[in-house]
Amino acid sequence: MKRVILFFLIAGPIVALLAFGLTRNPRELPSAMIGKKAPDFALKNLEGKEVTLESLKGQNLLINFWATWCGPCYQEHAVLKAIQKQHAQENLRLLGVVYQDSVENVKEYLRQEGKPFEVLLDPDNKMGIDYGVGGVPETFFVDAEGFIREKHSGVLTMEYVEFMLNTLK
Amino acid sequence: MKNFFFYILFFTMAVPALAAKPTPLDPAMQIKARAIADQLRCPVCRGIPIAESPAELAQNMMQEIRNQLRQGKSEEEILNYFEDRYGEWILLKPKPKGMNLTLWLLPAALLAAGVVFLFFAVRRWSA
Repeated sequence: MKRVILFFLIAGPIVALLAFGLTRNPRELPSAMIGKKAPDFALKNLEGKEVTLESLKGQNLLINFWATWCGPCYQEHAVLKAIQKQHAQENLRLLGVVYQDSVENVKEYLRQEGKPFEVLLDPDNKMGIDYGVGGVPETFFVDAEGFIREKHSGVLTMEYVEFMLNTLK
Repeated sequence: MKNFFFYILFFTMAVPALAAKPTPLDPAMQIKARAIADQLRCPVCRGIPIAESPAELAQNMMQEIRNQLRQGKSEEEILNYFEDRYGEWILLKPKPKGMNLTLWLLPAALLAAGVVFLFFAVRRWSA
């Protein structure tokens, strides 16, 4: 009897720990950037004009990292277009940072699918690394003071974006 | 005359090309860059450092390490830069602090417990 109790005392916590581990998604990592000041950037838009974080100060930002080769980004595009339409009059700026993609592909894609955001070109992935981006789509919500309030990995939904925009107000 | 035009052409083409390319790191710095890259997890791979990954993101991160070394940043500053952005997860070797201490102390504690167990087991068998 003693041995059985000892077995459960040793095996119990190990099994519990493993079971807890299995309930977690190893791909879901809370961003280290949340609550921090958004790193500055100076990137060219599609028109060749330089856009900096400083120049956008005072506006809430939705910064979406995306690429034309990214399937989920295609699904997300419709959500971003709806968001842009619904919040056009608000103090919100939508930025789409191109991630590991060519300008030609981006222009053709936007010509076909529409342009819900101001496109920023990040050819060396400098901004991507500065924001701790590991893949696309990833979206950052930055408040008017320039602080990152939330980061979302994966496809955005209307409900989630509406909820986040309310928290930025 | 032909040569003269050749040299003019060569320099007008070569100078911008050289200007656009960052100066390569010296061998000692290359070793340092590699040593730092060996400590950083490739975010889009499975458990390999960025130094061993052909992924574009890993190559971009490698370039960032070289740029920061050129700016005179130390190894600690560069590792902190990546940790600040990607979290402690990016470090292949977790820092021995907080809950991480379990990782460092548990094997030693289990070994010690095993030795104690063996000691008593052998003593009982030989008695």
